[in-house]
Amino acid sequence: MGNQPVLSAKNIRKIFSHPIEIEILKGVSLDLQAGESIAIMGTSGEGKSTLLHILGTLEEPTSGELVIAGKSVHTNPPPSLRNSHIGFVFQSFHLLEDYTVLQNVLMPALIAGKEIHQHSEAYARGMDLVRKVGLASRLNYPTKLLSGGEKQRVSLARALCNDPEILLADEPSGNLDHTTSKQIQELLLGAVKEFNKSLIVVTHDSSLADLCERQFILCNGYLTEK
Amino acid sequence: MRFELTVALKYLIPKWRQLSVSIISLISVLVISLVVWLVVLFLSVTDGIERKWIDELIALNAPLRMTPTEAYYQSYYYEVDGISLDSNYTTKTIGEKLVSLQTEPYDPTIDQELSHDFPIADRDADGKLKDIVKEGYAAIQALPFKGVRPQEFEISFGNLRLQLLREETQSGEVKQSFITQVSYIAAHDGENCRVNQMVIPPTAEDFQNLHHALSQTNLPDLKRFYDSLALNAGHLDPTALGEGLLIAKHFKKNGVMLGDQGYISYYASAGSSMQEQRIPIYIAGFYDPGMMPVGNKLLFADRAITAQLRSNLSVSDPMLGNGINIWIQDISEAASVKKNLLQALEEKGIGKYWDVQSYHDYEFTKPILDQLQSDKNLFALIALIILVVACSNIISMLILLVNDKKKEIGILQSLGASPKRIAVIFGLCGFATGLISCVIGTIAALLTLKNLQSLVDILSFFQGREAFQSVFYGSKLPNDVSVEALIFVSVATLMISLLAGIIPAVKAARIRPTEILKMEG
Repeated sequence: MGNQPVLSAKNIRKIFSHPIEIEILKGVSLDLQAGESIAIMGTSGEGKSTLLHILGTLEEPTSGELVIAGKSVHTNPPPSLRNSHIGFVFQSFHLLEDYTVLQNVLMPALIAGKEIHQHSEAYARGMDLVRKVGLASRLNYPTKLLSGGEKQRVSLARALCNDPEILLADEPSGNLDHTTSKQIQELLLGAVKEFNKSLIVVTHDSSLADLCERQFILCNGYLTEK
Repeated sequence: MRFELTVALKYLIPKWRQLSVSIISLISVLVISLVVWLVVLFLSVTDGIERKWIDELIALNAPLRMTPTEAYYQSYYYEVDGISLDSNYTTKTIGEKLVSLQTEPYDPTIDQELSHDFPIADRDADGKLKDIVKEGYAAIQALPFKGVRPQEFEISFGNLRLQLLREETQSGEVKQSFITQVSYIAAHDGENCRVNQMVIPPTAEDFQNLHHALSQTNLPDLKRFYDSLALNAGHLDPTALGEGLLIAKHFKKNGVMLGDQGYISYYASAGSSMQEQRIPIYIAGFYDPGMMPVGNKLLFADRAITAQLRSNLSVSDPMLGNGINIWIQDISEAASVKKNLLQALEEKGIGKYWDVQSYHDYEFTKPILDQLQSDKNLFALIALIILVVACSNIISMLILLVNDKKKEIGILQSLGASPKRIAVIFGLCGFATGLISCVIGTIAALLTLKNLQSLVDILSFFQGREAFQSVFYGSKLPNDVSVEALIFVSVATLMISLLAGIIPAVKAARIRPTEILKMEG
């Protein structure tokens, strides 16, 4: 890919029409290089999560251009881009509660149409990730029985399942106690380094932001580097 | 598709946590299964009854018949026998035409000159008179269907009068009574296999009466007939009847027995007046006329008797006539045979001389078969409506499921599942519900059909009377599964289930993941 950013957002604007028209993003541009970690901070309601969802192709911008791994979202189906190049880590974990830890982790591979039987590559990778996040003993546990920290570990393993270039994390430690929060932050950034991923993390937590290479502030619809 | 199937199956397994969805889901499966069970059961039994009725309706007739049209009777080919010495100045029956050595018996040097209004001969390219009957037979025999066999039929008309002589057991006095009935008399030459099948085995009383008749008479045919009975009791061979008469079973209920004698009377012109003529007959056997409306009035006699009656016939009745019965192995092919035969007759240039009817067209079967078909169509329509109502449960169940699984849908979308694939999951849920119900309903229907008679017996026991009158339904209800019904109900259920899944599928596909993920966040 050379020096080409893994994610490039140009002049992203987002206007919500209901209940009243409000321009939440007024021309956000951002380049994320391979292996780079970026923190986006800002007060509540500034549109951090909206920006993260747009960057993750979950939401369409009103205008602007978004290129992921060299592919424009205008010409490539967003679900496919999301499945192949992006891994999400949410504040509320968003695990599938009726599935086990391993089934959750392998779900992106299943969506991608990969084989997930015991001798498959995806299965081996899933097992490896579960071990790396320290949940080897919980492999076949239903995720609803896990603690918050454990759930976030599963969430991180799942985000890495399809070996995406980009990780997007929305307040990954926001629902966790201080100690667990620190563990998750270390795990997240450790994984970024170990697997050479690019990370965009939306957070209020300045200690987490400090661990990232670049910090941005989203204020009044504009993104400025700190 | 593996992803969609995996998730759909997960959703379909009932769970305590989603109790309302599980209950509605189970109710949906139960209701659809019940409808499938009912439809397969009803249509299978109805199909069986229809087959039985058709069998009985056409018991005395072939599945197809070919009769001469008005154009035939007004043709040179038919009328020329009436003015030809070689034909004894008598028109011929179909059978006589078939065995006749001469297609054109007319000899202008001997026979009278043809009048100006005499029909013009229908000749082929070589100038030869078309042999309408032989060509017609050839067309039938060339049909590419199994078991095609033409057989001439002739039905006449006469008045049957039977004299019943019964000896009182105590006094030894002989009592005499009479039965009279205006009847159709059909020629029987032993080739109508169905009549042979429907002959009722004689009883001990019949044998006694025969003994008595034999002691009173010296009819050689009756002796021969008795011999055949004695050798092969219960399996009557009507070819051995001779002057005997095969009559409908209702006569037996009225006290008629084998060996009873009487005559068939008709009126024939004698000089300037009409005089009653009598043909002596005796009862040689009884047959079950099935459901044929005029069955009880139809008697079978030797062809010589019908020919004698026909030559003096002056009444017009659609039941009467002369034509060709066409037997085929599989009566479901009747419509195709008819189509092929009509085409073959047209190709031979004799189409206008023949009318071809399948059993669907017979004047005595058409109303009943049409009514049966209407009843089946009506039930199929009702079944379809019930299925739609039952399957509408699927919509409710899936909409509840979609609402219940909104968060999961959002998560799956964030992992890369497209709205289309989400829609497929719920479409599959609908389809699978229909499929499972269909399988359960079909298995239940097959088990019920297998034990149908036991169920009917139980029903009859509780009702205190016969649940299904044997007059209409036979001694037992048909219990063969109807493949057509099975295909109909399976296709309809699966299609409706699939359609029922569309609305929830669209609803699921339209869920915006960001709203759900933010909400949960």
